[in-house]
Amino acid sequence: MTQRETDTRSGTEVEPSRAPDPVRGGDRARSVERLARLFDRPWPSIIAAFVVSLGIGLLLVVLAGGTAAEAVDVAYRSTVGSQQGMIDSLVYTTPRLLVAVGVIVALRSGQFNLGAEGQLQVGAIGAALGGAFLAPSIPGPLALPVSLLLAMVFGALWAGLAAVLKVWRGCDELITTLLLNFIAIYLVQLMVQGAMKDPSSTFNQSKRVIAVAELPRFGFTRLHYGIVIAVACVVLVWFLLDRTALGLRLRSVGYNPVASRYQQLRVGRLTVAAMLISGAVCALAGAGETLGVQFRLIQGFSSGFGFEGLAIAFLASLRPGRALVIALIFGGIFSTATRLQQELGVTASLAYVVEGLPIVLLACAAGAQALRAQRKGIA
Amino acid sequence: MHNLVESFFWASAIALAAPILLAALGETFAQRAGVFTIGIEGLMLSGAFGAAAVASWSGDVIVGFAGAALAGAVLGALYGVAVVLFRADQVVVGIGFNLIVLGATSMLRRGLFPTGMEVPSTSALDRHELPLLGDLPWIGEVLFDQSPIVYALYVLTPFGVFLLFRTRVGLLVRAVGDGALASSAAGIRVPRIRMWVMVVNGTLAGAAGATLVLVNAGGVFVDNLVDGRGYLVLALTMFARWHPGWVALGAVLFGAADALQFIAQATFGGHVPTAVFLMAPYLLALAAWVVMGKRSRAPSDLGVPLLA
Repeated sequence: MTQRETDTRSGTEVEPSRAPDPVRGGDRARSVERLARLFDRPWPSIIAAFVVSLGIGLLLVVLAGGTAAEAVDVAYRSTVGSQQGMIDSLVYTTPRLLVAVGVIVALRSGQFNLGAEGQLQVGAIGAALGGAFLAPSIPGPLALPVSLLLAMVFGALWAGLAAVLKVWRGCDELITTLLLNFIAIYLVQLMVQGAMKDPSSTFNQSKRVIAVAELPRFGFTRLHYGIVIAVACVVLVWFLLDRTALGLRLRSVGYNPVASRYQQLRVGRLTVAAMLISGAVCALAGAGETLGVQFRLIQGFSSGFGFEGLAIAFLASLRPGRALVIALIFGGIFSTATRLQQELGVTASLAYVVEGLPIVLLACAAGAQALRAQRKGIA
Repeated sequence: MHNLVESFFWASAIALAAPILLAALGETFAQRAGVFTIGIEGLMLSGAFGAAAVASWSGDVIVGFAGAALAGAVLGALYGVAVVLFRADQVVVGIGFNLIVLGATSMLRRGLFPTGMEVPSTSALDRHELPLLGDLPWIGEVLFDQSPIVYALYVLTPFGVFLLFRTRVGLLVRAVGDGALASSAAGIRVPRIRMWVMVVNGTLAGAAGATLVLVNAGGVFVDNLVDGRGYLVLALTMFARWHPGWVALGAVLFGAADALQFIAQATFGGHVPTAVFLMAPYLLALAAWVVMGKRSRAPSDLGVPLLA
């Protein structure tokens, strides 16, 4: 429709008709930009959203037959009020935080990676493969690093598949990653029923991870070093995105792939890079559960960490540091819900309601604010 | 491989396609109008729970089915309030909505039905052979010995095509999705149309959930019953290029992939693990997505809130 456009700065020709596919998703890219801007919420509004949703959670506990005083008491004891509560909260925080920082890398780069669940599932397969099958035949000190590395490679490839399909075939990664979630979940089932099944067990589970491949634990508690890895990932992802050239390029693609291409950034490669990194970090969530909590590959080890992690990333305005804080709150919510189920008989699924509400509320507030600003601008 | 042409296999495929197609028809209209409903998973789940709950209270599956459609309509409208009226980001709301519905339905199930739901007779929605047409060889067994829901879809799908491409309503829906700002400037009330589309989408998704629980699962609701079929619906809507006819064809393909497990023993001799069959519809969706991906052109304003 137009003639060849010329990039005036470098003089290279860019052919509009051969626009690489990441650019085709201009609508989606626009929404990433919106996401970054709209979710740049000040702390007070985030706190307000949490207060409302915790209030509704409390109401639900009362409706389910508990009393508010009991609920508050349980919430205190399952979080900061007791050592066991703190440990439980941190154990629940670990996978959610890893997923959150993992998807932050993708989202800030303009890639809608909704496939964290799948990436952590294949990560668990990789970790079990390393910890239970390879580890006995390699030197002890290498067992844990090899298991973690395998998990990261599996997760990176799983996410990379979606990225390659996007660049090569123009497949919207949002749908691809959602579909890959379920393929991964059934892949785990396939593994524990077949190739990786422990022949000495009647349950569908893999062999136990050998001791040297386990994640070390703090003292005699159930808290494993996954939390250390998760916090390290927070720092690394922050450093990558905010302090390196690669991070700048990734964010540039996230904000505007078309402009990035005119800046001679290789949008396709950066798309793949963002997804590889994102998948590798998300996979660590699965590795942490396999090597630090379950010690085997089992079905259903993740109670939907993938989507909870996404919720954390959104609430954290896609910032790794904030994600740490929000993930700690989510860990506390989950720990509370679990104990509420044990003590008051309130279903632990309450946690999903309390976690899902604030992002819907904040998204509504952000949307309404953007609408007001737009109308004011026109008037 | 002769099992693959047996009427039993294709009859199962069509039966299993019904819930997917119901939801995908609504999602097609929603996406044509520019609303990308990731929350379709949650809408279907709420419909499934609503159907099981109302059916168990009233003892009548038809009432349960209607209750599910109503629950879907109400939640679809609420979803619309967030993404259409408040202009909230559609992906974010979808993720949050699905989490909330998953938690709420699981809580309600345990809170309201601690001893389990009473499953009423689902015979009203079971297979009913049509007179004359049902006597046709093969075709009769495949197409005309089905649940009334499937018969409803034989009418609903062509009506959807007609509505979308041959009426003023369809033109408005497509205009709103392909140029929301221009439509708005031309005096079309974009939010109103998108709200109505979301109510329809919710109703059909609720009915799809009801079909899943009352027909496919024999009336037994379990937590997270929908288990990703909502995402299959999203994929189907998009690789079928937002056309109800192609959507129907794709839904039958999914049904066939789902039905493979029924003939597995006879065809593959039981050597193939069940997980492969559970995975099959998702693999098929991915393959279709890869084949069709590049050629499809989405409605321009799909997923973008109207800022005007």
